[in-house]
Amino acid sequence: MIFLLRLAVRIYPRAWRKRYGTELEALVEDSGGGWRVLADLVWGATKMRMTTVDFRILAGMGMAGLAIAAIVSYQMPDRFRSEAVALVTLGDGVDHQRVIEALIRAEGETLSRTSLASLIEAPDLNLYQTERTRLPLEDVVERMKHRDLLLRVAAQQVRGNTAVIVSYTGDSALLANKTTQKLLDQLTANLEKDNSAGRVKVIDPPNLPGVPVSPNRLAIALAGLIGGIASGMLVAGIKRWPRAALIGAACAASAFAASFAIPNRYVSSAVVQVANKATADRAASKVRGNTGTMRAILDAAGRGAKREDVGIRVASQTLVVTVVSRDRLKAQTAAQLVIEGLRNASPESAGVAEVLDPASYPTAPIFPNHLVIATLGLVSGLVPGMIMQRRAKALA
Amino acid sequence: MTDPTLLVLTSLADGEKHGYAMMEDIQKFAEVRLGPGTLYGAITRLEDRGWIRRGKVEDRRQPYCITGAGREFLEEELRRMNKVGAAAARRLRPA
Repeated sequence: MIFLLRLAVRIYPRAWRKRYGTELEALVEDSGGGWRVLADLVWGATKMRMTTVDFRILAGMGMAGLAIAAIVSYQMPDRFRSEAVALVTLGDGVDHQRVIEALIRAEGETLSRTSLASLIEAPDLNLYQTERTRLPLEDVVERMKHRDLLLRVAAQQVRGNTAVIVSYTGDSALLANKTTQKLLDQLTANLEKDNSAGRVKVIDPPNLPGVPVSPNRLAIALAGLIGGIASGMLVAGIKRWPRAALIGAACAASAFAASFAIPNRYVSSAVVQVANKATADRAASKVRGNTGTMRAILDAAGRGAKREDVGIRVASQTLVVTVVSRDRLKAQTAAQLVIEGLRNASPESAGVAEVLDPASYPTAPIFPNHLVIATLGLVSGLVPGMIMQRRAKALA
Repeated sequence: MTDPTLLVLTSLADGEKHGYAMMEDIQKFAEVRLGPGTLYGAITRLEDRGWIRRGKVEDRRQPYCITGAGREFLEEELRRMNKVGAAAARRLRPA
């Protein structure tokens, strides 16, 4: 118990302990301790902490973060999600595996950059008007694909049939509904032109959502509060460890500046679809194994390009091509050469290979991450800075 | 009267005391047992306001004594409480 009581005395602010710590410990020993005394000490220490400047900074910045987040969340537009469910029934003599393969093919076609770009630019939808004024269409397509769109094949079969869920989140309920309907139509058309799948039956048409799915104002306000408290801790930390903060900031700034000396690396990606998985495997290994083709690709990728920078990943009958280079244009050119190589790899694949996503022109480098390097610099400066400050204090 | 500040001032009104002596004294005259956290919360406030000051330390135990300003405040509080007490007694008396 005496250990716990001493621990409770340690909860009091350092400055307060300097003034009253010894006599409070003596009083605790005299009064004999017990759970009530412990609770009283903890409560007293908590109240004392609330009067400190550090607590006021934390509380003030937490409240400011909460208020800012609340204001921002009410400035954010409401977003609505529409969802549809379709069943792909098995055709005569078609097994489940072939339906899944057909679905993967149809999904690839529906979510290809070309297909999504035409959907975005469709006059009756005219999606992402604001984003399109600021960003290249490729980035808008990526945003749609990864943030707003969902096309999922259900793992469980429904009475022997495969369920597909399509959903889209948009700026208005009507837009979400219309876009989901169009996506469903495209998926259905892509599936039905494939003889290996059965028929598509829509069991749950796209709904017209009544309630927005985002923004989640409570979560945003909570994030603001936590962010504010974290900033308060940072300010309090700088106040307490000024020398460490200075060394940390200097290291972070140096690391950030130095990171610009590291050459940028860009990645260009493309998606090619062939007749079946066997053709895909054969085409990939032929390109990888052909010294002449690989040399041409590496030459196109530019100085310092290695075999590991050229990626050909086989996913069912789809080939995902990636090329990393120090130059964005060279990355794209090399990726185009890989596509050509895949097309020419075997006479079988030449006729049926279809480029779903042509080689992209990378807009942002994938390496180096300047923020991560600066953070590492900050940490590497903070730790020795804190040790130095502590040592200086002890010597003083 | 359970305000720890007033209890501490009352305890110190008849001479200087350290923490434990104050706790025992307060329990005797007010039948209230102040915990160490509550007592030192009150001592901190009173010292910051200049109503009590430190005496000579005796083996880790720090005695405190009431200042002139503290005595004035206690007398004022006592007058106010007496006034309130008299009013309550008058009103409770049957008409």
